[in-house]
Amino acid sequence: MEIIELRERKVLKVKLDGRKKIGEVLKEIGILPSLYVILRNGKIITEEDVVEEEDKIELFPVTKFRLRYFL
Amino acid sequence: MKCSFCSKKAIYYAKYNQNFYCKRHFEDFIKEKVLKTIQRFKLARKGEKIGISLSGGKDSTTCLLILKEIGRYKIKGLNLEEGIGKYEEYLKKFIKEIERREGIDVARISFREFFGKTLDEMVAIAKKKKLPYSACSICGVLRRYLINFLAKKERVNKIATGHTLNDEVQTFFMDLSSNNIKPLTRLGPRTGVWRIRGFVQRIKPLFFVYEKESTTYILSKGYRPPLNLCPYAPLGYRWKIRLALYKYEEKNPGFHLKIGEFIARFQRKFRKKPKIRKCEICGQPTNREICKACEILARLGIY
Repeated sequence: MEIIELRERKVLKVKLDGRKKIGEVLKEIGILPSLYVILRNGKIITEEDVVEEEDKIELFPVTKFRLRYFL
Repeated sequence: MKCSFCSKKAIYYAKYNQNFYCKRHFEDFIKEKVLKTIQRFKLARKGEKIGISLSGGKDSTTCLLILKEIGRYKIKGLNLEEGIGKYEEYLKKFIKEIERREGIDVARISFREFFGKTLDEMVAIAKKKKLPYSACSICGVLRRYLINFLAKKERVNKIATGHTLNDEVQTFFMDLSSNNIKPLTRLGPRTGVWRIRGFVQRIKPLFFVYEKESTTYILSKGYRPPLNLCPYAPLGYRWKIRLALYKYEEKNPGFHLKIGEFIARFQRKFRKKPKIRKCEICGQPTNREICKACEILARLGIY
């Protein structure tokens, strides 16, 4: 699964085993879901939404943090 | 996930009240929150002319969109052009898009036009003269000075800023951790709780709105605000506090709202009317002999 952080245009590749809540996926890679508005195929979803391997996720930052602060 | 109030897809989950919101219910929820803040703290009266301090960022734009949609006020955009290299170009472009799409009139004034120098030039002078001013300290003081000037020129009743709940709570903890009590009384939905001749009162309609809510709002309206960071933006201690607060909120939903309530009550209880006089150089109201803006300009050798 591909997750793109929109400020830095950084692409993160995540291997998903089945379906999972996007909030949990982000926490597993060290990203706080509350720091981003999550977009799936350009539409806003909540951190409780379930995502699949083929989904393309974009993260729109809500604050001025840079990814390196928590990755 | 489904909206808690209808069968549509949710775009926002508020952990602090455990509700899911679809686009329509989310926008109504935020507008209602802002209107309640305005009414509870008497931030503005129906028909008043509100100048929105429009930086071209997401929060000031959300503030503008919400106040416009509430429909009770006359709205005017107020934009300052500091002169920060290429960074400002993205913001200018975005403000033009807002003007065009929303049919909002925006008044502009630049640092160069008013002070004779851009912020970039002032920062270079301060560095050359080894003055103890950071870009943010020069910008913050001169912005407040100039926005007040522009607001008076445009005859607005109030200046609305896009400060969110996260901004306020972060500033509160910054002041608290440096044992700085005086600025604490200046926090709250109204900046400057007293009406002072010569100052246009500043209000914060997004005082109880999380910055994630503000960002979700603007994206749900179909805007894509620029993501560029100001080249001068410090990302040190202030942001460590902000990140710690985010982590705490994650485990304790509603924490920021409780602190926001505390700040608002604290301000009402401990406010003191400042002694105001006229600046000996520019004649603008200040609590010092020479206002901070004139002091900076004089030390930079711009006066």
